[in-house]
Amino acid sequence: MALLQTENLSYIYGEGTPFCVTALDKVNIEIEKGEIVAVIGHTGSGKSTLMQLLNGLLKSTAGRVLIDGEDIRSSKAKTLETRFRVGLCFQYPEYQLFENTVYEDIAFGPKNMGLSEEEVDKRVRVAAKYVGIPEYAFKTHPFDLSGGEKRRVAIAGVISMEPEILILDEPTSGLDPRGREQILELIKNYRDRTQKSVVVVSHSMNDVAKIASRVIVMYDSKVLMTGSVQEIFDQSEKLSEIGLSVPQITEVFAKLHAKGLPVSEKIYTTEQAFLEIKRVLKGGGVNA
Amino acid sequence: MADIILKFDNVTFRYDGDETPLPPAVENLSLEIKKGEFVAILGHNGSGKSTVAKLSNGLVIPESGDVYVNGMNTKNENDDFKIKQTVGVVFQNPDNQIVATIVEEDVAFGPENLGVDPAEIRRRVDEALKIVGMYKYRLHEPHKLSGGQKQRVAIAGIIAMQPQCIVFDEPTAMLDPEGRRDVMNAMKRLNKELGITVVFITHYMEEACEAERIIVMDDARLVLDGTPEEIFSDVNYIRSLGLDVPQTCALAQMLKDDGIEISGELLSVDGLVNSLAKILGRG
Amino acid sequence: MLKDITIGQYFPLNSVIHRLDPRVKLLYTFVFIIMIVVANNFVSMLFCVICALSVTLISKIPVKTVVKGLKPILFIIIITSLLQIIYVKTGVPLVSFWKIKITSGGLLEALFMTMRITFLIVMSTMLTYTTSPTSMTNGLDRTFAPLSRLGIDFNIITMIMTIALRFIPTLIDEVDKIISAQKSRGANFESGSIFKRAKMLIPLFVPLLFNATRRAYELAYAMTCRCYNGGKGKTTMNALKFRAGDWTASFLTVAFVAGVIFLNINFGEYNAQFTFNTAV
Repeated sequence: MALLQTENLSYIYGEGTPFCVTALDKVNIEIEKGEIVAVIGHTGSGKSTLMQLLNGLLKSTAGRVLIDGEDIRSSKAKTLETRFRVGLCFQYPEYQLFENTVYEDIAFGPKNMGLSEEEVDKRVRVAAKYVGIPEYAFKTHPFDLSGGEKRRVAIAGVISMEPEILILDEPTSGLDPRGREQILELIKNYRDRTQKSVVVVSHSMNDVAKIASRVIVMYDSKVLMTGSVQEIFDQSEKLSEIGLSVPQITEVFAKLHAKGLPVSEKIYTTEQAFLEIKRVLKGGGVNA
Repeated sequence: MADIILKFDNVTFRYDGDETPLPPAVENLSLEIKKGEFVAILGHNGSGKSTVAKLSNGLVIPESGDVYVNGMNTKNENDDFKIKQTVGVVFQNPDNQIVATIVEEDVAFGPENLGVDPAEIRRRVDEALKIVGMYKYRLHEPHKLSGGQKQRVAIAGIIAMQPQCIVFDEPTAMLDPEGRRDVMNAMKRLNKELGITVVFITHYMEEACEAERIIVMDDARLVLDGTPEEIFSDVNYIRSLGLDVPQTCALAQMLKDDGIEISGELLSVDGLVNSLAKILGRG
Repeated sequence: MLKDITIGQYFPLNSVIHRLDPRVKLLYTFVFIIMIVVANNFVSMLFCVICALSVTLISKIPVKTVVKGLKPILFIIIITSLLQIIYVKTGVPLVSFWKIKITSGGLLEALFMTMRITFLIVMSTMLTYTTSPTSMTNGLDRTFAPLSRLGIDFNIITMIMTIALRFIPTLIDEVDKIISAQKSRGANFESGSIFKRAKMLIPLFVPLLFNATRRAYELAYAMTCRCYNGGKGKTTMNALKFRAGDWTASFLTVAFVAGVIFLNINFGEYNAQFTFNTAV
């Protein structure tokens, strides 16, 4: 049994009004313990709605969300508990940071859980370590931080609740390459050390390909495909069809292949590309 | 001289700190932008590139050095309106640039402030909205539009002032891929069809590659200035600045490091395909 | 949920009514409201209703939308009607139980009041549905322009109103997002003592105010880039001009006023028994 699972999950905005929009249509997904799952899709594909259903912020129009096999809506207490077990961190830290110090802000979640002061303190320190916020920065005002730092404090504010599943909505959008690398690295480290599940929502495969163990592609309120990074990139034509970007290098090799050169067309990283060229130069044949 | 629209002459600028003086946001920057150019300014967050936008039309004034717009010094307050009309700036957050509650009324805001004749404003507004592909949304409310659409309305609002140069300060940073594409296309059209000089500030390497010229900033200083091919030929240096390198250039560099000779155009997909085809064909 | 508010919203369409000068609409809506209060018998009232319905049809606003806009005042209509039914004792007694007597006069009076309130609201919403907030501010601006002689700078006030109108939906959206983010960290906005709930406003208002301040700074830069200088020497794209449509509207309004007065005088006597008791 999966840790988190949805059953024909549907959501309609403004149901019963002439302006109703189906945001999610009979979605079935599973999140296993310890996975890093990337949910890819463009704006309006339903991915953000799905995330808010997973932690019980929204109530589904039809279908269920199960945590450890139990409906998260079975009781009010269960719904509240789910909010802590499935930690959702939104895209813009500006919507969540409010305390006077970084420390207090990271402590907000654990305090709401009613934990003892010692436990809260312990969790804040552990969470700050995961996101690389040094203890000397604890007294800083969150608004004085740079964009990348704010985002890390916001993530720490959710990690400190020790959720079994951490959901990050567009954690790297708007960051420069250095900030993006830092976030991706911290996600991977967090998973490796805690063995907890992480769900990363993104517009682009390229952003999350490095860390994801499994990918769910959403399109038009439905799950279009799911599989390993390799399996999804193998469908690169389908990806471009729905307007998702494919790595530049994949395009290069598709074109080389089309020219009749003996190279594989399934190349996604520069490392793969380098090895493939070396292989062909040594006189190897097509390696499907 | 006459074909230089924007000139930075040894400009240094720092923001006011609360108590201790902050380090300069821009230091000893000298730079010339020619009329009709499409220039990208690339740099990581905090490299000083956004300050360049604010300096370029007198929103902030240099601490030392001078900025000239068509020969007018931005320090000269008498030329303020003329300078802002010549160089428009589009900012990152589209929401915070739209003033009116109806798209077309927002686009009219600039020309109205300039006291342009109503019939002429109507003509300019319609034209500006058509260029950015938002004409059919002219009677919509801005808050119901997507990020990319709002940003295009903001661009139209600047175009309606008939500037000769537009500085875009990370206009795509808050947009989804579709919005980014639409805004990129709008910028290219302005440059190609209206001949407007475009200065485009970004930290997205892929977007910078679409410019004719790239200026790289690091630590408040200009560190590189050249064509995309020139800039990305030094893969390791670009990476050391905390910037991305196109996969094409990265692969070419790996091959070169390994002693494999590869020449020709290496930046674009088609260029690299041709260059690789040559060496693979031999092998 | 906050997004569902529809009263006072603009409905962008391209009808004759939409194109009228906002000053004309402001003034004539006011005139209509006076006349519907002046109307003192069913014939005049019916005349008002027909005129209001014609305006609605010409405006191209879907009837459904207009009806939806009435929902919030349903309560007021019901209460007023009940009061009329209970307290008006004229006409033929129909039903009688406990201390309550329902008469034909009471029922007619209730119907009359319902019509009056309903169409009073219909015409007021018609004004906001067909006039963009900006155009409305423009209209107010021109109507009250003489105030500038008293030292009040109406340009600035108009700008403030426009920006407020522009950013209210943005801020509402932002409140929704902040609530979601804080709820995800276990914040409870719905239950607890008043003290606890008041405390919960901090995680809501601090980000909201911080973001609003940042917005204000950025907006100031953007407005400076577009040569805003307090409205000196400003022109207006949609300059307010009295056009043919406005003359027609003026003529029709005069005819309407004359019509109501004529019908009041001609039919007033016959229905005086229940229409003169309306001063509740």
